[in-house]
Amino acid sequence: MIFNTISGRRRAKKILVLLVSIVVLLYLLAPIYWVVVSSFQKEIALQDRPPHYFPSAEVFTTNHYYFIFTGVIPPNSTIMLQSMYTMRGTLVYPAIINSIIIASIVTIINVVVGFPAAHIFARYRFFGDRKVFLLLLATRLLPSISIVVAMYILLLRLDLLDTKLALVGIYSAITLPFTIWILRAYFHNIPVEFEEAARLDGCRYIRMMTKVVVPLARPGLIAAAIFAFMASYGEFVFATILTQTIRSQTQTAVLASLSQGMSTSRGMIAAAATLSILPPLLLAIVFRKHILEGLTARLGL
Amino acid sequence: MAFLRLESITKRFPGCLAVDRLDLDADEGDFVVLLGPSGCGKTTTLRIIAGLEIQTDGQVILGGRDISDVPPERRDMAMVFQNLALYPHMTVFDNIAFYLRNIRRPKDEIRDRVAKAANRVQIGELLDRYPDQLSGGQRQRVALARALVRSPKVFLLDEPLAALDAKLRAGMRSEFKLLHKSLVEEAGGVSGTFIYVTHDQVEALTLGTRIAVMNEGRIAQIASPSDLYRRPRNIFTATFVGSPEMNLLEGKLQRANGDAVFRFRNLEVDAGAKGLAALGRAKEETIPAIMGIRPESIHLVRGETLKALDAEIVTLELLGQSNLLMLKIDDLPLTCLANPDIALRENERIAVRFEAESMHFFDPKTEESLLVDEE
Amino acid sequence: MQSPYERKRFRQTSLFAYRIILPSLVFILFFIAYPLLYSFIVAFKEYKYGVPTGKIIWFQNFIDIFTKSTVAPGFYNSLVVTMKFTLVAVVAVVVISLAIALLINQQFRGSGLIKVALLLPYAIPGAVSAVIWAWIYDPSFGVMNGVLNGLGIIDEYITVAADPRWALWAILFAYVWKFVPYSTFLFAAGLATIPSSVYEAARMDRAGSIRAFFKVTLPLLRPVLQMVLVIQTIFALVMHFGLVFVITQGGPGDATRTLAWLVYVESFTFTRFGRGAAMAIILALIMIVFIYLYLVVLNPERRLKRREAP
Repeated sequence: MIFNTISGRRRAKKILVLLVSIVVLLYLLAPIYWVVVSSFQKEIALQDRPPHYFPSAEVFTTNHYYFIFTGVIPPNSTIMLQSMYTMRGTLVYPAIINSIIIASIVTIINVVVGFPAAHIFARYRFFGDRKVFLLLLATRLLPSISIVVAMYILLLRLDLLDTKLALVGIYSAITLPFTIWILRAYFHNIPVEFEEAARLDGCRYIRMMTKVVVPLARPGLIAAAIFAFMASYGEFVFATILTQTIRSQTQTAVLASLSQGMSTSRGMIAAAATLSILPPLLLAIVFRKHILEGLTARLGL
Repeated sequence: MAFLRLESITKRFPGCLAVDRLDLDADEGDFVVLLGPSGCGKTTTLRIIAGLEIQTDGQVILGGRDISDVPPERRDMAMVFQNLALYPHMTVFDNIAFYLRNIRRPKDEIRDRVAKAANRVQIGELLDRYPDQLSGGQRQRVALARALVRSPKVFLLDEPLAALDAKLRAGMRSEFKLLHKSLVEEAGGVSGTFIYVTHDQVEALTLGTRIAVMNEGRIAQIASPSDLYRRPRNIFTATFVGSPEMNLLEGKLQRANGDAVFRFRNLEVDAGAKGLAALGRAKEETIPAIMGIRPESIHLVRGETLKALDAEIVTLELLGQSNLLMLKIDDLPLTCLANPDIALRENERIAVRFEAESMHFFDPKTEESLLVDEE
Repeated sequence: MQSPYERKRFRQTSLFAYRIILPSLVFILFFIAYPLLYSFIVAFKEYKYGVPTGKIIWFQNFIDIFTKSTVAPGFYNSLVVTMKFTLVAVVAVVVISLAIALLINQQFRGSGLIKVALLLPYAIPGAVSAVIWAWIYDPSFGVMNGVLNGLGIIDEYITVAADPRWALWAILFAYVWKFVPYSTFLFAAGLATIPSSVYEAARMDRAGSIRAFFKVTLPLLRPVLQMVLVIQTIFALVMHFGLVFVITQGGPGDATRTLAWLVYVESFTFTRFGRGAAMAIILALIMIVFIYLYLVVLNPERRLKRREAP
């Protein structure tokens, strides 16, 4: 029997691992592949049965992107398609820009405000430290849908509905506890002696932070910044309820409303989705090491 | 008044007294070693001197000024950490120059001083490297250079050799000694004070000009290396310093025909002048005592000699320059260092003699020495 | 216990620490704590759009939710849907992610590729993944229909999102896709800490690989498993919102009307803010109960400790 020898078992295991890997990769990548491929297909081709899994040159088009970026219906498109390009599609690009702006500001706030706070929680014992930290953790568990109603009413009164400012504030509040949480865990893995050495080398707080702590904690800081960015970039509940116009709408809000239109061009929706996922995917791939380390940092393993 | 003085320093952590009313004086040019087992409070004491830890009570006085409330960055002390704490993101040069940059010295001064400090510990060619490109010994030198470049008032060294392997450690130990010597000579005796923490008695005995043996937050004895070895003030010091450990025998010290004898079990040994001194000090004819004798002060005697004790060799270890014997005298275990030229076997019965001049006597209750302290 | 020295230093440190963490606290107090408090007030009011002050009716909103004939059945149904979804989602995510983590842990060539592939669904915003899956499920042009049809599993294109039998499963499938990677990373990190010598010892003791998994791997993974359970339950209770919003809008009928969706509908479709806030509080309470169950009841060590130290 194949399983009774070491080499036989090894071969059987190799085949099994290969098969399972293919299934897993297909499951993970096929949806993304399909949306990207769809975004480059002619609307009419998208209706073909069976679908063009590997599209040929004759179904290829960049019209959907052309419309999203210019708002001009491509002259070579069919009458049917012309009616399917809603002007909402042109909001996709500004919405992505909104998302990037909001997420960037939130990220900066997390770095400037959350990083030193995490350092304080990791290194100092002070009045009420545990209680305040638990309070921070508790806010992590609160479902956003639970406060969005109250938030809506409050922002309505403050006349802050449909502003980027409101989203920046909310996203900062949501992401800061997480940032503080993982960075605190990260600091626990950095020997405190570096900071003590810096002290004895004549550094006061600010100089110690900039010259020693930040360089040492950089991988963790990058991971925390990316988490903050991705969380703000992809947030949906607040974005869709607290925004109304492109003044503040983020890509998730625009995309969700775009996909609600029954007769909207499917190709254009696919193109919009492809554009939306581009920034976080690029970040994820470029900083994959930081993300993987950061995700598991707070396990304390 | 001493240059650096700790006055009644106490440090209490939740549920533990780390340092207990500790007094210590150190002069400029002194090399003081804090020696003790782990958890005796020696590192805490060092950190209190550095200002990294705030004492519960007592004062740290430097050059006549109470610096208890001065933050570490303004105490002008350099520290070599146990894990060295070389900044991994800086080159060797930047590591050494960091302090000088922090106090904003001019560029060429920094360059000169860094080069001088680096050459002093022979790492002049490594200045462009990063710490993770260095060997353990080289890193050690960088840490040292980082302290040297400052010419600080106090050098604090926390088990700086602990991370090295045995061979490197011996080499660095002698370099430390040379370095300290040359610093003191150059400065004409007014160079900084060294405070060195270790649990390794060989390091302590070879490096220190004065050694403070610490136990449970207190100083058990502070003395020069030779005094510490020859005149331990209590059982803790007596057994902690010296390897193999000093033998202890419980019994009675008695006057007999004008001489002093030490009786234990139903045996008796001559207690010599030290025994007489202890009896004289106590003004008694007989006192309970613990006699301590180092393994090298137990001698083997061939044949029937007067006052020799009958012993059995339990095990025999060859150490090279001597043989370590585990003996049994009337069921009492003893260790003894013997000349390797004498051929011996395990289980052999032999006669031994205790060298009376090398005996130590301690009070069984207080564990303090019964001899007049010569300090 | 503390000396004046230490008290002074502690006071200085505390002042300094609060100066640094204050900005973070301000954000959290203003944008989370304050609205949370306010949502309690709203929950005690008959608060409708156009009646901005609202009348205080204390627990009437809560009583209505549980008893009023026009509200309670829908609410109970949403509880059932939520529980069903949460249970299946948590089990599915845990099993699948643990399986993938075990696969990655084999350290074969290509395991790095799977790690990168896992990052993609993780990085894609939930709402965008909802759009992607809505497109895949599309009844007329969806690729899922194309594939199933091509494989001969179905004869005609089906409308999963609008079919009460399939709608919740469609949401679930998309949800699992998005949330498996995160748990996989946690499990993989946990597996990486188990030294191979443990497995070698198990093999010498003649434990087969299945037995080794249950007797060695799982017990050692316990802390991670517990953490994944907590996180996944919290996620499953609310993070499906974007998927429901985009793919089914709670439908067909009430097949995918979860509690989170009901809060949204009550508040923003029917603008009954008071009742919506009350439901939101109930949702938060359910979450707290789950976390308590996982952390305290399921953890025998903690129970033991409690018994020892009264």
